[in-house]
Amino acid sequence: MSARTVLLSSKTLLAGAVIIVGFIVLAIISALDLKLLTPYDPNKINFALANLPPSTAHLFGTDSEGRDVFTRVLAALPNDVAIPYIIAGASALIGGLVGMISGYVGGLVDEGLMRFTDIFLAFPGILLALAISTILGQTHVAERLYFSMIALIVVNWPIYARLVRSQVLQVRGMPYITLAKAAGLTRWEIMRRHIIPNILSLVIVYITLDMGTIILFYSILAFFGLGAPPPTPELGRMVYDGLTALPGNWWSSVFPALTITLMAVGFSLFGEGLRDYLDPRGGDYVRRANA
Amino acid sequence: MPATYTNLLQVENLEVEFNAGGRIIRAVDGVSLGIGEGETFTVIGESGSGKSTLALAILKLIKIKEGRIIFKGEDITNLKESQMRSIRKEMQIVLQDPYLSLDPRLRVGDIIREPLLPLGEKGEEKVGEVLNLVGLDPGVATRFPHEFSGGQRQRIAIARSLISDPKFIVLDEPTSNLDVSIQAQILNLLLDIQEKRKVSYLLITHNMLVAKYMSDNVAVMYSGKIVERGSAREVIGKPLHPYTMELLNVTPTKGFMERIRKLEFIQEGEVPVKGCRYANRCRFAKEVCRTTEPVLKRVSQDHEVACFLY
Repeated sequence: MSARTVLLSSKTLLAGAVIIVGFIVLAIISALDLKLLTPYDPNKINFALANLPPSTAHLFGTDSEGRDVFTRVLAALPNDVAIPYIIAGASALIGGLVGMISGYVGGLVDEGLMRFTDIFLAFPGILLALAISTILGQTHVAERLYFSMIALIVVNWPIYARLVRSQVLQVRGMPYITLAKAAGLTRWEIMRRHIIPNILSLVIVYITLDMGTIILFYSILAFFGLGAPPPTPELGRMVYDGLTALPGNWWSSVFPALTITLMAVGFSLFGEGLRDYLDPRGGDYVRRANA
Repeated sequence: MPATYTNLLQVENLEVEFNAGGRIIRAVDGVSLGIGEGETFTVIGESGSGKSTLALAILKLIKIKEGRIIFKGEDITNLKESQMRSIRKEMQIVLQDPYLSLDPRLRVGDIIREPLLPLGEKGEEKVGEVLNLVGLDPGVATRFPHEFSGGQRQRIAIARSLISDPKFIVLDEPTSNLDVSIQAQILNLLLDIQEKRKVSYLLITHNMLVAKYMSDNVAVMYSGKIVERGSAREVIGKPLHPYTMELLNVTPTKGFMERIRKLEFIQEGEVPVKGCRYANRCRFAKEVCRTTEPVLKRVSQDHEVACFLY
């Protein structure tokens, strides 16, 4: 099946893809030249225009400092779209590597690595991420954004290690692995030829489903001021800044919040659709791996 | 190494142990057998008898505790995996489940070609050759395993085992997951291939009919030990060990019943710590069966049995 027929076969998959691609396109245009999308400057303070409700001139209204909320949402997109990909990619890479070694080598190496991941899994993810980025971010304000990313990678990779390890163990027990060994393939050849291709689709589905969570987690860190330093616009921070104006000037925090939600929903839809496509039996496979 | 040898494969006193949560289980316990060129040797036994473990040990895919494996006159027991590489192309294996023994992500051609990878060969034309040999169209090489039925998949698995032109193939229950109508086709195919390629088979099965149809020599295995061994005609035609009888479901002869009477009966409720492993299940078990372990004893030219009745 071509990618096109797969997409059209499922409404959730299609809806998810449209949202994800839409955000990526907007983020790229915004990064290249924001002026193509909006006539306003995202950071220019003008108290004469403060707290204007949504209108045709200001789609999402203006905030307490007179900045166009729609423009600031667009300006925040390059960071807020790219960062979750970096976090998910790095977590999957680190966790995947650890999981593969753990599952394939086994024995004491496996035992050691798994106890190490247990340390990270023992803390509630968001609390650990908050702690790490607070401690590191306080002293290095300019690099806060990177520390937040590192914090989320630290929280996320053990989950991938677990997932990949369990998958490697499962595939390793397959009869075709016995045949590959009997044929004289080395461990590395078996890993590359049989194990990685067989677990890859599940890991990709998991990454997609995980993206929603990462977007929310990152926004939470930004909400607490642990993301990029001001005045760089950031969705999570905008929600926080608008809080003081609630409930009267609701638009300055509700619209950024809705944008975050829409991004997360897009990945959820796409992930669910992808999972159903790869596992037509109902997909409780990934849900189990998730638990 | 000497180029002359009597048997293609000689296994001597092989022992394999597993550590199952602190408890040592001897899955293969002092098994010896020899397989001549172009011959089929069948190991018969129910699940758990250690017959598949024996097969994996002979291919050096699991750790061997004791004993020797001599292939083409060369002792391969202690060869390192790097040294095994050149020998592996001579020994292949076909597994029971044709659904799980083919990697779903690979094309049929790549699956079949796999044993050539360590040799650094491409073998494009060989793939078509072996596909022809197993009765499949060479065009299927570009397709994926899920497009085929169980019987066709097993043909693919057999084609794979033939690509490196091996002298010896282990067939681990090659037909037990297939429909009865397909089973006969696969068995006939295997016999055809043996005739054309002069390959030796080590057949693992629990099915006496399959064993009878395929084998030159058979060994009956119970709980890691060979309890009866000999030519297929002798062992399946005139079974001696009570376990073989149970597998064949035959009634003991009159002379057998008379020999039983001469042995002492055992008291009920006793658990044997040594002695014959089959004693607990054996309807003819006597005192001696619980105390002493029987060894293989030659009863005729082509027939050995490990039982106190003989």
